[in-house]
Amino acid sequence: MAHERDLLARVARKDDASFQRLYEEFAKRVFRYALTLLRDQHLAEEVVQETMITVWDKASTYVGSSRVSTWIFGIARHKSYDILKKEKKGGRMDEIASVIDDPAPAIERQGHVRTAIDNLPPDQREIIFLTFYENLPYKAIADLLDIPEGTVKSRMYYAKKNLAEALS
Amino acid sequence: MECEQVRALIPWYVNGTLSGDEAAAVAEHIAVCANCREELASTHQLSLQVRTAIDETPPLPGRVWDRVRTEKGEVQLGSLDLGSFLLGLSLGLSVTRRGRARFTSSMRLLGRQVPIYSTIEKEENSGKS
Ligand SMILES: [Zn+2]
Repeated sequence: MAHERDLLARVARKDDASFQRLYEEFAKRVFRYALTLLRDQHLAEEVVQETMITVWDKASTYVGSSRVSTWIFGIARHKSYDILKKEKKGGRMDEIASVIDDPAPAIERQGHVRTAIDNLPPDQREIIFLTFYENLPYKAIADLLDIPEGTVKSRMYYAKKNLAEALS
Repeated sequence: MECEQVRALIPWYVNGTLSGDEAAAVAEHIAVCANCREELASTHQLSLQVRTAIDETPPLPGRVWDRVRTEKGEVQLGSLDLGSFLLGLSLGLSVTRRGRARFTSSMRLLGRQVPIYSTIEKEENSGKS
């Protein structure tokens, strides 16, 4: 974590090589997070692009009270919802109205576990991703999502219940 | 600790992020409660399945890095000068569906990072960059 903070501090001083390392460290994770939220490859790529540009522009505003990963995921989360809003406004509603809420698009070659995750409500698949893929503490998830810790736990409860049913 | 409290914490016991006190309380309970032990085993199994499933999602294409590097302004459009044209760079512009011009790649030229535009890169073109 100290390593990530050092890296971000150098990015704040506009060090290109450090930015590239930060990108290598986080871009794929941001992509997977956005893919979990949006379930659309191209929109998820856009989230990565915009998130990493924001990291480059705003690295100096990172205050160090949270983990670097939580800070970056917070940006990615906003970008995901921004993109979704814009896409909806931009008349592509038909195409992507279903992006977040409806049953997952049938993607061939996708395993049944992935399908089960994708079919969860968005707030539940987000908790699953952040807990089991990113290994975040529930407190960090509560901060990131700006919800009470109890809500994190109850979302997890329902997510696990739904997954168990889908995978049984 | 009651079963209900323990179960609420098990996912974060599994991902190893509970505080020392919480982890100790969960461990203590699990040692004597078969139901919660079972819950721990199934949650652990689920976490492995989730990791594997997410690891199998498509890789992030390299073109995203090209776009980020160019957009963060290693070179501004204005710094392309006649010399670049004289060196025979072919120029083009990619415009995403959101209407923002994006460069598709770049190279070092006379010590500067210079974008090279491909003629047109359609957003849906998923060719590797
Ligand atoms: Zn118990």
